[in-house]
Amino acid sequence: MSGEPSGAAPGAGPPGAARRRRWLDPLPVLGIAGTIGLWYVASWAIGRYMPPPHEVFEDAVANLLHSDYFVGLGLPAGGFLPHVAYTAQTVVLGVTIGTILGCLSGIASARWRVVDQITDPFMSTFGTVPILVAAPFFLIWFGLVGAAQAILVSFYATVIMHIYSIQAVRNLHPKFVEYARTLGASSRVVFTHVVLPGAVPEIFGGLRVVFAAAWGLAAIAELLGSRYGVGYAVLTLESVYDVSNIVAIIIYLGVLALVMDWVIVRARALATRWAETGATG
Amino acid sequence: MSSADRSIHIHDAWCVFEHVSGRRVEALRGVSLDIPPGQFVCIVGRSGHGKSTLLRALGGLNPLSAGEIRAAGEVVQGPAAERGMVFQDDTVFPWMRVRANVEFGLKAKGMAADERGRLADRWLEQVGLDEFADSWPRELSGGMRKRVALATVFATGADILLMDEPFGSLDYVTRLSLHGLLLDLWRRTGHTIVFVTHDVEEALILADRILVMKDGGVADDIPVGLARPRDEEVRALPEAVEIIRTIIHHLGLESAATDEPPPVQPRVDEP
Repeated sequence: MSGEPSGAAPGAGPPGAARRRRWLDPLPVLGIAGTIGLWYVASWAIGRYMPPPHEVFEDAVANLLHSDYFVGLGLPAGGFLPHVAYTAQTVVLGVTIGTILGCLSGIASARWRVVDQITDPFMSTFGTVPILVAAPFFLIWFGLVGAAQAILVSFYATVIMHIYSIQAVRNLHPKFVEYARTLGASSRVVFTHVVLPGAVPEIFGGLRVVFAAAWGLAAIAELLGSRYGVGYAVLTLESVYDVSNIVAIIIYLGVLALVMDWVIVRARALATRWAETGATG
Repeated sequence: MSSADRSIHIHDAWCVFEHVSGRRVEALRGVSLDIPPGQFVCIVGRSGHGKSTLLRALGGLNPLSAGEIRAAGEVVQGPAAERGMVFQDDTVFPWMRVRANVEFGLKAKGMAADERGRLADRWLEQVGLDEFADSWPRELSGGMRKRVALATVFATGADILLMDEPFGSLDYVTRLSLHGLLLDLWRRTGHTIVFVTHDVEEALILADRILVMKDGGVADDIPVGLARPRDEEVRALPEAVEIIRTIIHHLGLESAATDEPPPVQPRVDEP
């Protein structure tokens, strides 16, 4: 996969780096095995309401793409897939809109004091409103199905990215700006060539936080009112005490969240190749 | 590059800072100086006596409270590419490859890409980094990054170079090799260089003239007539010893500054 074409640079490839990149690290495997083991113990101790891993696995496979059982509960016939896809769509849409808005307002606030003074009261007040309080308003305003959940997610994503991008710009060492100015750079060039690239690593940090939070926000919004989505499916399954399928759908959501996080980490590593060596964590 | 006047004229420059606590700090107190074109001037002095303030005022980064600085024929009102600066901190942009760093000032000027690429490569060769044009700054050592900073200011075409303890954080041997490089580039370009340092030996190796700053003013203005090329052994020459004595005298170590033996026993903490 990502080879190391850095070539001539001295000290670019320490000999340990190649050794660390293996297909299977023993420690994570041990961690997963341990978790499954504990799960069996818990299942044995708790009984009916904590089904063992193999049962959850069977349900997860059986109900993935199609499920008559779900239809019986009043859910769509497509099994887990439409719910997971719906939640994923909410998250991606909400985070994308929120990131664009939050970065624009944050960077503008860092650059122009006027913008900061206008946006700050809004961002700092509404950022503290708990989602359980905000969600009912959004559901009333935007309806149960469709935009409400995505708007809710984008709302929180905007606030978080606003704060992260202001910090990202402000944390840039002033020495870079001074140096650029003594090289004859206009304030526009300083902004595009110094301030923005310098802010990129921290903005990616914010993006990871936003994504991590967004899955939970979307699911909560669905719990409170929706006809689709992981949250809604969990609510329905809970009404019949079907723990096995709840665990299965949560695992699907978790895997998707992990994949998304991995994508962001890779994107960050690509965008900030200048910053650190081997940013694969 | 440009045939602009490379001289510097400072007339009664004052720089007063108002602290939040209300304390007034007079960092520069009426400094007047004339630096002819092509001169290599070192400013020495202890920390907090106005060396960096004067240099930053020359660079246009600290506005004067009163007085005037004329550099390259113009009144200094802000930073400009005609007055290149090299800082003590590592200021090479980490998010640009080495060549892009060297090109930055030329790009800001609006020079076409192929032309500035050629110029950048030429200056990278001059500082001995032609093999590293496509590297990231983090892949270079601190001394190499200083070479990048030098290539950048020279490529940008500054007529006047302002250097604020540029080699202060480097090890001794790296510093010596950068002295050699800087003197070589200076000889070939004829730039005026103002170089702040707290290292008297460094000043002796580099300078045509040493200014000693104390309490925001110029305490002494010492011509350095030592023959070039000089190396680190220059400090052993009688004339250099005399200069060191004068400087130390101004900096306040009285007992070490006089020829006569001190009337009382030297203090125990004296080396």
